[in-house]
Amino acid sequence: MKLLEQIMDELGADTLKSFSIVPSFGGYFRSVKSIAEYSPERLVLLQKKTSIVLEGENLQVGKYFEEDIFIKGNIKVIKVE
Amino acid sequence: MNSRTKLSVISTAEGALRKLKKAQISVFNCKKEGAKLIFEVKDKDTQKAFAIFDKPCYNITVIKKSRKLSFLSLVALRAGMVAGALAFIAAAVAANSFVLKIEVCGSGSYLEPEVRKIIYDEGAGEFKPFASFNTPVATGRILALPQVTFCNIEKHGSVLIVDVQVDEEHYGSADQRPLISDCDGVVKNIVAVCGTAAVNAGDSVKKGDTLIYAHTLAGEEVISCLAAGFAEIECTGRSEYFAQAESDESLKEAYSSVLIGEESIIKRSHSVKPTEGGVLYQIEYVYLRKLSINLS
Repeated sequence: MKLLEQIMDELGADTLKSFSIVPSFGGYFRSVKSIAEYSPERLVLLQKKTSIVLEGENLQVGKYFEEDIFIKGNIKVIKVE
Repeated sequence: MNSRTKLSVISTAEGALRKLKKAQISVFNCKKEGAKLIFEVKDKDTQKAFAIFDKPCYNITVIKKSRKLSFLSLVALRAGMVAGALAFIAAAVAANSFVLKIEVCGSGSYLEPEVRKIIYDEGAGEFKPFASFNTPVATGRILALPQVTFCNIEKHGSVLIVDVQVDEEHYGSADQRPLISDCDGVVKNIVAVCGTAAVNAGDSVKKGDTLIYAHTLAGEEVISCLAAGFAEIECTGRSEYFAQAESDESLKEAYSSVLIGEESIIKRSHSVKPTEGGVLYQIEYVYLRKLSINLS
């Protein structure tokens, strides 16, 4: 994770807006200001200027603290709008 | 220990999570069940969560307390029971540090009075703390008892078990009688390993007198035990020897006619008397008579 962040940083990306997905397990998202929609099939996470739409099965919030959120479940679709 | 409390709140997930985030409360394992949002917060955040959902419309409830909180609640509700249990444990621990019974076992159990005396001497006893007992010294003293080949002292709960094993050759063969003098004389040395010395060095004794009693004293109580030890008694003896004529050879023979080991004779003297057909040597001697009992 640190190596990935270092690479992204060196490439000039804002790592605070990055996220990681593990198929059939879940995903970790950062800089999430709030949750606009919440159901086991669909979740909408709001960042400052971006919304991330997650679709899948058995989605639930594993941990949410400050602006970091861990989503448990099988994420099948991600849309960044 | 799990330190999270499971809560349920009737609210939209979005609204509830927003409030929790704003209050900087970590949220775990959110699940939507109908109108309810079920989630977990750390124990320390429980009151905070209740505070932010204090309006009746949210209807927040605790579904499951953390083990820690459950335990603390139980302690608070059953304070008497907990105090009783703690008192019982404390009493059990305190009792365990005391010796309530002493058991002497093994093939050397016939030495129980002597063993008990040693145990008492070294600081143990019924209703006494085990910490005051000097185990190594007691073990050494028990091993010094006659015929004892093995000794192990262990505390099982409140019982002090003393395992004493004796030499198989001597097992059951110990002499239960006291040490009796078989001659008249003066006691030069007396050592009672077990039992009680009846005389002191310098005392005059007669044949049949007791030298070491087969009992011991514990305070004013007389406890029967094995007599073990030895005594050295200075005795005098006289013998006569007839020879054809007075000579050095005859004197040697006269001395050797005294059937006592040379090393035991302390002093000897002789006189010669003429008699019919030769001479009569009269030998007077002082010797050390060694008597012992139950010493291997």
